[in-house]
Amino acid sequence: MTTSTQTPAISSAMQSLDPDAVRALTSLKAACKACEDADNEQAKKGADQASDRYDGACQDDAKKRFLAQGKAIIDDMWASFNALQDGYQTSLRPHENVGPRLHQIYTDTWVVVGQKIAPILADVRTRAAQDHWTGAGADDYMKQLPVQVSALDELTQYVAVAGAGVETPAQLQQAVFTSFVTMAGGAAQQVQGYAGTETGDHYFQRCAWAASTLSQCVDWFRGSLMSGSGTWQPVLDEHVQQMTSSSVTKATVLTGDTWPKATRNTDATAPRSGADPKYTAPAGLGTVGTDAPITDRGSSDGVSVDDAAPGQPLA
Amino acid sequence: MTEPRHEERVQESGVVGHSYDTDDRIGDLDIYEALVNPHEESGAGSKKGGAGGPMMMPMGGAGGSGSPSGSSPVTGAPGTSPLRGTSAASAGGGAGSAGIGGAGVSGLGGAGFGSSGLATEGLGGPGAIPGLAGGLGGGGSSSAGASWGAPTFGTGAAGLSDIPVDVPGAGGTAAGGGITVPTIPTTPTPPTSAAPGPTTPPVITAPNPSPSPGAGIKAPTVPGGSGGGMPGSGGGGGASANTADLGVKTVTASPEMLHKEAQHWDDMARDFEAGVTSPVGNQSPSSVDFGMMKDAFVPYDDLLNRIKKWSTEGGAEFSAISDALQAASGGYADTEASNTAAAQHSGPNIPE
Repeated sequence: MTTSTQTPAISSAMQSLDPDAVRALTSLKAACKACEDADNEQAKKGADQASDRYDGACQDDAKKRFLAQGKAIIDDMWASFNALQDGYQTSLRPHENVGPRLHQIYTDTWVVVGQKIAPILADVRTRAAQDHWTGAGADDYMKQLPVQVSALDELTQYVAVAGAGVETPAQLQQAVFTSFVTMAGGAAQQVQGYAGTETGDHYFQRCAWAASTLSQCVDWFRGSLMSGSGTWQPVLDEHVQQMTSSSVTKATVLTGDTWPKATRNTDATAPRSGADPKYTAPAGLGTVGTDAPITDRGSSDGVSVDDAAPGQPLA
Repeated sequence: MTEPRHEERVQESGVVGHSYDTDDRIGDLDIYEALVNPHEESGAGSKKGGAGGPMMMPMGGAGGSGSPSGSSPVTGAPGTSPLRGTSAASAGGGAGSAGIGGAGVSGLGGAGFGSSGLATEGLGGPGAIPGLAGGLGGGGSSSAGASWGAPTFGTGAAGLSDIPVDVPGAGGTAAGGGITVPTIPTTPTPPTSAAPGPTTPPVITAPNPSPSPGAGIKAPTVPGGSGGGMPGSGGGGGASANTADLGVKTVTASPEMLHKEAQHWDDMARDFEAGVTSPVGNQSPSSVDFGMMKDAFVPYDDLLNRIKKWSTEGGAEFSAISDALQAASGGYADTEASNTAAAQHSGPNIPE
């Protein structure tokens, strides 16, 4: 059993991860553009082959069909990229300062308040232990002090819970950004790798791979990261459950949400301990930020010259 | 008067008088009453302590207790002494006036009553000097005075004078004879129960204090402290004597100690306000602040509001404790000063 209310590990600083996210998206966009450029460069050869193979004196549709299929793949890639970028811009970016601000409340308020209470608590404890006052009156006076000590003990616990009340959401929100940066940064590297891959007779293959990867990223962004399903939501649920548990809502010393008064009506015979822990950091808190989709390049083969044969539907 | 060797005031069980050897020892101080009732509007320890201030009781009241058997010019008739006594003294006076021998004993009883809750400390041995004993045994704190609502409360202890007195006829154990007040013993000396003087059981006119509701009287710890006294122990002081037999501990306190303690709580209250109440009170979050984690807002906000309330009340409670202690300290000191002045004023009445 822990000896005190657990709070999330204090990170030295928490800053907005928006610059990192923007940087990752910029890299991803550059990687997509690299794929597009590489595919378009390669497509010149494929278009000529399609024209030579299928076009006659009276028609040149094969080249158009070939390039149109390639364009569809490129558009799909950019559509996924834009969906990801727009999703970040509209859904996630507005919360870029949530983590840092909540964390600041934790460090600047609750941690400090806890530090301020500590010496006061120690002082009252010391006063309760003083023995230079004796006699019935002094006994009655000092008999009240353990109650005050217990109250301060419990307040300390609640301050720790309040700290967790902002720090856990702060870390979760920050973890969402971390996950996004991880995802976008990883996708950028992956797509950049596609750009440099030799694809042989598979035209627009790079963009097809990128589109597949980006599509998986978008699905993960919408279905997991922003909804929290399978990522941070279970951790948040556990946090809320603890914040609303009876150990938090039902004080043992500060009963009735009232500070005990040092009156003779106060039951000082056996003051209950207020030092029992009231909160434990959710187990998965430290792993949420590592969430990222596992993407692949999909099963698309890109566009071949044969796809430009007459009768093939335009993409 | 000799100079005090130290600042400490001590009330000890078994005190039979007052001595220049033990300067300025005073009766018990009802710390509890001053402390624990800061919220009781009609109780003893109002926060301002005014009610707890030492109410005045002519020491003559106590002195009068010895009049039936004594002839001490010091003690005089009830109410003639300008010295302030405690309500204990009043009680003792009442008891003593019933004719129980030993004005000093009557003072004992008075102490038991006046201390109202700490009467156990108001012990005096046989032979306690009427008037002086009343003051010595009194020690009813300011809060005690308020709680009982008696008009004659005060910290009779302050009414002590450092005068070795031979009080002819004042001694309860030596009726009609002079008693040289012994020095205060360092260990509690239960008063003898051999009541001197009349063999007729005393008719004790016990005070009938009607504590206001909520008044802080620790009756359980003060057997007989209501001033009823114990027949046979002399005056009304028997009750207090019994408390000594029960092994009630000594109260050691002084205005300086109380003031220091009060100041400490005041400092603590200020630190608490600055370090806890204020920063917590400045928090006013909204669900927007929690971004995507808005589910966490409501439980946090609920807890925050509770902590705001606790911190406000906690700081106020520390201040209340400080005020109560300060009131006790101030009232105590005031009474001491008044009694000192009164004692000096009445100096010519004291035999050399």
